[in-house]
Amino acid sequence: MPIPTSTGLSQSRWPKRIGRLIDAVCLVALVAVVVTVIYGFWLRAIWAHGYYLAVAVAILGAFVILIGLAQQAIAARDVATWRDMAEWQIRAARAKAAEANPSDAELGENLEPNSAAYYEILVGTLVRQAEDEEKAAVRER
Amino acid sequence: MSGDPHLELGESMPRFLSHWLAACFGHFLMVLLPLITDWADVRDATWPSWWWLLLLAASTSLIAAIINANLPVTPREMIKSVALGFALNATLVMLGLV
Repeated sequence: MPIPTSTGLSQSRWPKRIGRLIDAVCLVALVAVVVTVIYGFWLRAIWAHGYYLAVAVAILGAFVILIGLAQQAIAARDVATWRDMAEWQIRAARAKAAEANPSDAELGENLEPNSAAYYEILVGTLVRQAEDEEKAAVRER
Repeated sequence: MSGDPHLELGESMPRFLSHWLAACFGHFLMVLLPLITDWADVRDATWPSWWWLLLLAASTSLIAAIINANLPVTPREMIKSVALGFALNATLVMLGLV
């Protein structure tokens, strides 16, 4: 069995809910920092009559940060949805492959989902299923 | 283990830019907090011109951005950049360079 490769920050031992809670608290802190900075620049602008551009730059930066965060969240959700669809397809393919060749399917069950061999076996299963379907279609004709 | 590629370590330009911006905000926070908490004493103090402040923040935050460029863009990681930007500015202030 291959050693599972390190996948950086995704290998968390804490429950997902705590991670989400920390993320939410950090988001509140981040927004507080951004609002404080813009407010401070605004106070300064009222007195100095020269910081208006700094206020504009700070607001622009805040927008870029928020858009970046939102874009990441959307992209992560899309990836998760895509992965769910692919895994559903793969499970169906594996179930079919298990019917045809039981010894091969058991091997796939024991692998780490992050290892390269896992994907090799999954792709192999998918390819075999596609070939079987093609053969079945040819036979029908 | 979700294996989400958006949460894995690795440098990229969007990450660099996001953390650079976050570090700039940390830098600004260090500059502006006294203004908000000590309004009466600081309002007459001499302030750098706005473009000097922005340039200084942009240049010092580059260090923070280079260090944090491999972190994902999540609120949790951005706060670390804010803290690093704040700390870099505090270091400059304590060394008397600003």
